[in-house]
Amino acid sequence: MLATLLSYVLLYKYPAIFVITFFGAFALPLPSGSVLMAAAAFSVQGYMNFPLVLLTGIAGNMAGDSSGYWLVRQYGVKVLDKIHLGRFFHKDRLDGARNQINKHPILTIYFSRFMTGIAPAVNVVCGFTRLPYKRFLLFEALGEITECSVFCFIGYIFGSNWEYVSQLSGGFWIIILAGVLTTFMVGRMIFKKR
Amino acid sequence: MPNIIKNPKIKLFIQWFFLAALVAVLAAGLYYFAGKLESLRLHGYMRANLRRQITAQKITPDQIRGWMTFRYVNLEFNLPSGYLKSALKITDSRYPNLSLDSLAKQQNISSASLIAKTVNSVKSYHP
Repeated sequence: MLATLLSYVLLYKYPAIFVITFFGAFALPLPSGSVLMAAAAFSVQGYMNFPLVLLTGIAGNMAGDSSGYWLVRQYGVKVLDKIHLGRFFHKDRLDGARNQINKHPILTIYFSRFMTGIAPAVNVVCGFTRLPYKRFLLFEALGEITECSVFCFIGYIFGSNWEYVSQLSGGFWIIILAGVLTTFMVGRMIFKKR
Repeated sequence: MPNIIKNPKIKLFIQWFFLAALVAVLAAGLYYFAGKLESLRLHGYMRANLRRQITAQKITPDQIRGWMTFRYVNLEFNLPSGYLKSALKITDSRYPNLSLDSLAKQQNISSASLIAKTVNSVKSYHP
């Protein structure tokens, strides 16, 4: 799939980046992080413009997130089945997202941007529970700016060797997740009221 | 929940055990990632100095992949626009806006075979 998407990026450039990041954020399990990394590498090679790659990636992601939020807020979760996307939003995933949003809405929205399969479910639940849009937009935007910047700068730094680094990126996110969980547990144990 | 887990001391032990396991995963992951990063730096995968104006980092012929378009390959290797078209006998009007994989499918040959021909053509132009 990544190979096909990269061909589209080389053929159609910024519109392709926007469409891929939009659908990746909206519902589909697309490797938009790797696509952004590759596009940033193409900009190092002179094929594209780095600031435009970054801005297009952020815009596509934010548009996809907001579309998922408003679609469910306006029409309810069942609309996803009507547009044949319901299979990407299993009940378990939605229930898990709902529990996390109830406990830690801000952290869940921000950190879910880094998890390809979770972010669309979080958008849906935020829309369904009618979380205020301004609050959703603020932390979603911060998360997307961080996520897109990380991927783009990795591609920018490593240039034509982005493919090799992309293979390492899966382990990198496990490290980050472990770090976040560790910090959370330590904080909870230290500051828990007796 | 089993009664033994309701015991506060056991509960605290389990929490500390889980925390220790997470720290171990984090430390092992960081050690592995830092090692990989250093290996990349030593093998010259990273750009030397981001502040200097350096020439754009181009790919080598062996890094040509099937998803690449001929326009991209021409740009990366400074090839004349018609060079690969004649070298590989491409008749598709979409050239150079066509990927190697698409052309391989059209010509009923494997992508690996077309990539090898393209690599040879590029190396012939830049010996």
